[in-house]
Amino acid sequence: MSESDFALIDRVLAGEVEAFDLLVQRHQREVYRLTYRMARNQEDAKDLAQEAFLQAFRSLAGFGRKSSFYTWLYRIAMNLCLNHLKARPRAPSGWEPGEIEAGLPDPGEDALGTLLADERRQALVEAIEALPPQQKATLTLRVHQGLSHKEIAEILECSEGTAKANYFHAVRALQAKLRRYRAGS
Amino acid sequence: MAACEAYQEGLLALAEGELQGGDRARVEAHAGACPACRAELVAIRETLELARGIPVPEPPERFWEEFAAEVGRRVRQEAPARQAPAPAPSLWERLRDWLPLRPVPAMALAAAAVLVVALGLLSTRHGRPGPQMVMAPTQEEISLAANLDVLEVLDVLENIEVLENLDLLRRMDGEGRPVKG
Repeated sequence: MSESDFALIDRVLAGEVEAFDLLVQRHQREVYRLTYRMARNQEDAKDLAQEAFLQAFRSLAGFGRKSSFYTWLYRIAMNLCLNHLKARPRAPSGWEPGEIEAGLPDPGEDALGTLLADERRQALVEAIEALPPQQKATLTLRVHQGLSHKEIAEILECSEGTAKANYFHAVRALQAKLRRYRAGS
Repeated sequence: MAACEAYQEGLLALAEGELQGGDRARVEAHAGACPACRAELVAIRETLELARGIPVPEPPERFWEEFAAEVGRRVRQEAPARQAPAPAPSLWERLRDWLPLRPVPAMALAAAAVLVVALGLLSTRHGRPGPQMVMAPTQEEISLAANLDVLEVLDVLENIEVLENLDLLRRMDGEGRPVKG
């Protein structure tokens, strides 16, 4: 049976750096996916995710364990992403390299239907990139990470009501974009 | 036709399966009766499904090995610094331990008097320009020195030779004169 995150943290704090390697291996994929969805750039996502782990390592002694380790780690990652978005001059538009291939359907699917779905997803990607950072963060954590409003509030250090409101406004903004897309096409 | 404003948030919660019991029944009943809200519910579900389908390009396995290795390398660069032994206490910290400044006002006054006298003594003993020699500091000077919080942070005190000669200080009387014997 694998050790819990808290047990690994105890080992790290006792001086076993190898235990932190296990934490990285356990959480690296989800943290990277989170930073990728926020940054939409592989290099930036990798740098942000690695920096999140480093900051977690430096702050490990101060982790009070009032939340799960991954909630705390996501908070660190999300703060880095939000700072990154503030500093970035312009959000990327259109598909990033690899996103089209990643979205390719099975060969048996209807080609036209797939094309239309791709175009709608493209419109949605643009709409997500245009969201205010807090709404984008909330949407990402809810839709792509599957977190509850309570967990999102902990990560973004806001009230649950604020998290729900941000999410509601984000979804409405995406719906408005899709309506305009349908009207235009 | 736009969906009913009062049901907007409820429709989103219903689309995500978040509503239970009476709230769920109420919103479902309304959506069943209101064409605009029924269309809105369908649109919300489609939007969320499309959003969930936005892909993240999955890096090759080698990426994860290199990712973890890089984090491990940087963590190990920092780990020795975190585990380094605590630095030896500074001269000031040793003096402070030997001569607690609070909450003993009498000791603070005595320490301040000794330091003020010793500064004057040192300047004449080594023949260097320094503070004017004061054989007996005034009460005001002693109280001022005792109350100055700066006494706790003056790094410059670490460099004053008098602190290296604590024995000399112990052998002084209250007037700053060396005690014979």
